[in-house]
Amino acid sequence: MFVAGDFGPGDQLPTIRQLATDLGIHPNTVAEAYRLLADEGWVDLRRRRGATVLERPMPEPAPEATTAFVQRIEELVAEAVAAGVAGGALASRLRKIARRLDPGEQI
Amino acid sequence: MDPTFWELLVVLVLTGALFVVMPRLTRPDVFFAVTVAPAFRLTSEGRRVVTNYRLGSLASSLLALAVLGLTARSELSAPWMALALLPQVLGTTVAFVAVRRHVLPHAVQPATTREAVVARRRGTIPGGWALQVLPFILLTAAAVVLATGWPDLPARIPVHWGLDAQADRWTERTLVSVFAPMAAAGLMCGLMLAVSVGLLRGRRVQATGSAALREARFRHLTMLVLFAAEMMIALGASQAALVVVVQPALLTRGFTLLVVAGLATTIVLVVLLFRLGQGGASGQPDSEGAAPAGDRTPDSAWKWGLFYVNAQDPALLVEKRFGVGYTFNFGHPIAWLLLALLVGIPLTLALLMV
Repeated sequence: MFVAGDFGPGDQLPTIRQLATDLGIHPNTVAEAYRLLADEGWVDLRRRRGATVLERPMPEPAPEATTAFVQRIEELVAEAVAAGVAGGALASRLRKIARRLDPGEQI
Repeated sequence: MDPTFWELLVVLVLTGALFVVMPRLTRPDVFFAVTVAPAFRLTSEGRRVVTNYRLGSLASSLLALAVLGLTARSELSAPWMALALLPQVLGTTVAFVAVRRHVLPHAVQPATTREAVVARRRGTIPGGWALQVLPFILLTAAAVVLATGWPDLPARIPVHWGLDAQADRWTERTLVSVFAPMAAAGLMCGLMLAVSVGLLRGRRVQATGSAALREARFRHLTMLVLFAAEMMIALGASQAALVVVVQPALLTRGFTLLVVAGLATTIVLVVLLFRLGQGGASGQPDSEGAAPAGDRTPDSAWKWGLFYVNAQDPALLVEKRFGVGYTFNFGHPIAWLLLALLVGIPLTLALLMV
């Protein structure tokens, strides 16, 4: 949700207690998730003020990151085809993801 | 016939009717406190379960009416007549627990996916805080009137009134007998307000869509019922306390108005609640083959299908599985404390006033 841009800087996340109650899980689990998000720079955690979404600059991509991604996606596609998923269905799904990433691009 | 007899007769008949319709009011996929496929209740087995429960409950209500008739004819005092409530409640509970055993084999695994709105909740209490403090202002005003007029208060003050609005029991004037009922009423109102706030901050079973809207309406209505009850308690306690300083005729008219307005409001709110069904789930479209969501509590945490005990669940208030409204999660010590206060305050007051 953070990567997709569902939240803007300054948005308030639910309190730990509220989210834990709604999901029926222990508050420590939610607190841990919030801590992870804070460690990755997505949110600011302040006592009594809850979690606030931060403006997070995208990091400069490492040169090998794109190569690793392409290799991974090739492997995933091969796995899906081997498991019997139709090539057309895969292509359609990938096109949808591509459109979401770059709405202006003709695919 | 003692007025208490007629009061209890009305209570027994209304409660009996409520017990009979109760199975229709639960969420479609919660049947006798067991998570089932929504279609199960329409099968022959489902219908047989409902019929057996209703027969058991009706028999209990008839037994209760017989006990009431017997105590009314005997020399026993009015409070003993309240014993008639026991066979009705116990009998219906036994019928419920007994038929539930036949539903348990049909339990299904509820949906394991959980939904939540990832945004700060901005709910408001009905009428806002300006309205919610009204019962406390009423009680404080009555207490101030009594405190300032203390030297003029009579030596004996009434503590119980019949349906004809005539006092039928009195007690000596002491600080406890005059102010304790109002303090207790204030505490009861405070506890009910705390429950309302708990509902506001409590679990949302449905996160999105029309089901979530209906659930929000149901919760809002439940808070209104709680507020109506607070107002009834505050008005009743203030009026009972002021009877010694205000003209009886004026108070009798007030008493009649209070009873009529209170009953009318309660009936309207309860009818609206019942139309919405538990959690606002009445008439909700079927989830088309998806695993039933139930009320997002595990069947295994429901003792006899009536008491929710789950220390792992952070929710303090959860939807009842039988009946309409909410119940405590007895896996948390604070739930026991609140229950003790809700039962203990009226009981202590009754003992003090005897």
